[in-house]
Amino acid sequence: MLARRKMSLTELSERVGITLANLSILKSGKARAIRFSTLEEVCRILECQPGDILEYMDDKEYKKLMR
Amino acid sequence: MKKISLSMTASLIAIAGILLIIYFLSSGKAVKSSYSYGIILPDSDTALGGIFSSLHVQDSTPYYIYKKSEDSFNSIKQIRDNRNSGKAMESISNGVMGVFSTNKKTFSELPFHPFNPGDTVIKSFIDSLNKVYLKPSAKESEVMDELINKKLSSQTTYRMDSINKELEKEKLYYFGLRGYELKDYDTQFYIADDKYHLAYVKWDRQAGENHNKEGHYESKQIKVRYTSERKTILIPISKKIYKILNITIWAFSFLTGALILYFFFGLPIRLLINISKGKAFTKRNIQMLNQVCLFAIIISFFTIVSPYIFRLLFWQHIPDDFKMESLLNKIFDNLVVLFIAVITFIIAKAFKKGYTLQYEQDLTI
Repeated sequence: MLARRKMSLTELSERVGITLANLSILKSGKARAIRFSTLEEVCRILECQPGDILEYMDDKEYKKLMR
Repeated sequence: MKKISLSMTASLIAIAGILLIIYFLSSGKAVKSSYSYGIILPDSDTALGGIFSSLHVQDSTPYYIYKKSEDSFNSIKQIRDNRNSGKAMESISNGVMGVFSTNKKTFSELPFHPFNPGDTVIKSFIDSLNKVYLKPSAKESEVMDELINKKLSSQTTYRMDSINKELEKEKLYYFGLRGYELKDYDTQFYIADDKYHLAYVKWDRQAGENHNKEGHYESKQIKVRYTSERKTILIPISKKIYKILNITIWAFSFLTGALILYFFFGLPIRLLINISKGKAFTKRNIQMLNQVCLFAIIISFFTIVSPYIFRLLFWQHIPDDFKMESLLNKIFDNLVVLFIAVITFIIAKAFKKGYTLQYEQDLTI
């Protein structure tokens, strides 16, 4: 979605108002939870739906991704 | 997880409460029990090491003679009591065992007295003074006084040194095991002719309808010394073993002291520093709290259990007339440490919960 919008992580973090470190935690999938306000902001900036940036994976797939 | 830690804490507190109740009940019983019996004490003042001797002086004796006999009786009694109860002993010990040493003789038992006029050193000194002067002037007598004082004090130091040397020559060394009591309330320990004895009651007649239980004292020799004051059995050892044990126990005590300082002061201070820096709920803090808790449990476990291990090791040396202090007593001696363990356990659990919450919080974007 970032690529589609031609936006860098830094720019997104600046516009959403969260630190780059937190954004990378979010991007890598290490985050335990996301606040609705953060989600709302990200969706607003990227002009997309939550479904476009969130994806369900089962445990096996998730572990594979994390490796 | 939450339920387990909660129930564990609750059960720990419950156990402590039950122990407390048992303790008070049992101690109450000991006080209440009455002794309705008669024991015939020995007639002779010198029997049984003189532990039951008392001052008998006729009423008609002049006061100064009475006073003199009383004084000498008391001084003899005091020496005897000190020896029997093991006062004035040098010792290094922890709560469980230790090494003890004492002079075999006391000051007043030495064959000479510090200012015995017949003593050659003092005699020659007095002779030399007598030779010196007949009629000194005021100034001369001042100088003389100073000289005499100087000489006297140097003589005193010399005499005291030689007395101490004399006392140090004959020393007794012991390995002590703490926490022992005489099984029978009436049994007494005493020393006679440098040998260790127990005076115990031999019952002649059981209690009947019209008379109390009756008995008399008998004596038997035992191999170990006992000090009722410190509740310690003293096993005689050689000087060499004493020296080795002395260093060992000293090192051991030093080590324990260092560990106690580290776990009960060092770690909590580090914890406080961490918290003040804002790092409250970290894995390291939980680890530190667990370490303090574990150390408190280990230390109380060892002080409670190690006397039993020592008893097994030295069973040959411990006469049957002695018993160990009750387990409850030992537990209650360690109540503070056990309490520290419980408290740190609770705090560690709280910190663990805090750590989980902190982790969740940190990763919520």
